[in-house]
Amino acid sequence: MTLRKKNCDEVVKDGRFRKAIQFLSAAETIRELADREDEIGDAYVTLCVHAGIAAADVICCHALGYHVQGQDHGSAIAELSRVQPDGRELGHALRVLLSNKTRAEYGEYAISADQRKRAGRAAERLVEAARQRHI
Amino acid sequence: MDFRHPLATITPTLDGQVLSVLAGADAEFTGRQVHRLLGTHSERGVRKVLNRLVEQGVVLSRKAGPANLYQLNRDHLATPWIEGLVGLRRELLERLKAEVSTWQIRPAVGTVFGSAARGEASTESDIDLLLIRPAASDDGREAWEAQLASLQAKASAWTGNDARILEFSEEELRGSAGQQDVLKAVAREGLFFAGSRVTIKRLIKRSAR
Repeated sequence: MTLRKKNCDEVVKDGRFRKAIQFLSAAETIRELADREDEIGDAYVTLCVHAGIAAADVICCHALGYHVQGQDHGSAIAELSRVQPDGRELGHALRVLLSNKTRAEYGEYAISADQRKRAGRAAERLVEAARQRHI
Repeated sequence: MDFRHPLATITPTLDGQVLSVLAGADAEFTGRQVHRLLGTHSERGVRKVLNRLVEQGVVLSRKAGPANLYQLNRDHLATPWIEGLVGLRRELLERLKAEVSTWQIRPAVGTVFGSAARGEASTESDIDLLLIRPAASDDGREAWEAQLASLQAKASAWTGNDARILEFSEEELRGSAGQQDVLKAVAREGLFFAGSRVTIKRLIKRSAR
């Protein structure tokens, strides 16, 4: 599969960064407002996934000058993993999020408490790394 | 230290900036890509630097069609030092983290904020640190202040910039809306070496009540 790359300028970086913050903030808000966390688990994880993807785009833009477009998750993880010095851990965090994407968004089974926790941590890790590079 | 260009601590030339870009990813770049990521100087100047660094062996080059691809040589003896210099901002955070972890009274929150956190600080800039004293630590007031003075001196020595500490107590922030602006700035841009962004967001909510 050919790698689909989108070159980044400041507009792309800013826009993706704002979305990463917005999605993570929305995820935290619905978790705080929920009476029971398991009742909003799928929505929470979906927002974490979107936050993580946007953050990964910012990180790739900063280090590589482009980010991966499309549904090719393997390439997105591989490109992020090339970023130094923390690309491997960041790639792992993105993998955690993308592995939950389908189940959280479209699946008939609810996300488990463990998946919820891991997704939250992975999204925070990616958004924090994006913040350190972007601001 | 210039937080925008950490390699300027040893070389003020474009070479340092080019090495920073190459060190940022285990990837091959064209001269044009390096120039675009730098957003400064001429593309010709960037290519000249790349070729000079190839001569030193610290950058590898290969032809791919009409283009030359460049990559940092991760096996070169000099590379660990280049990577270390590129990561000076991270190293500062690690040192701050290690320092406060030994404190008798540990802060509820410790962050670098302002221009150093944004990576915009020059050699002339102060390094702004925010420390929040934990609730119920009034008895150790003297010890706390000695810790702050020591941290301020160390952070200045580590960087060559003047470190300035802004300090609040948790009690002081509770119920007081006066510090909302600085807390919001820290929530937005702070680099944390103690506590977390969640702690700051909680304090903002409480102080707004």
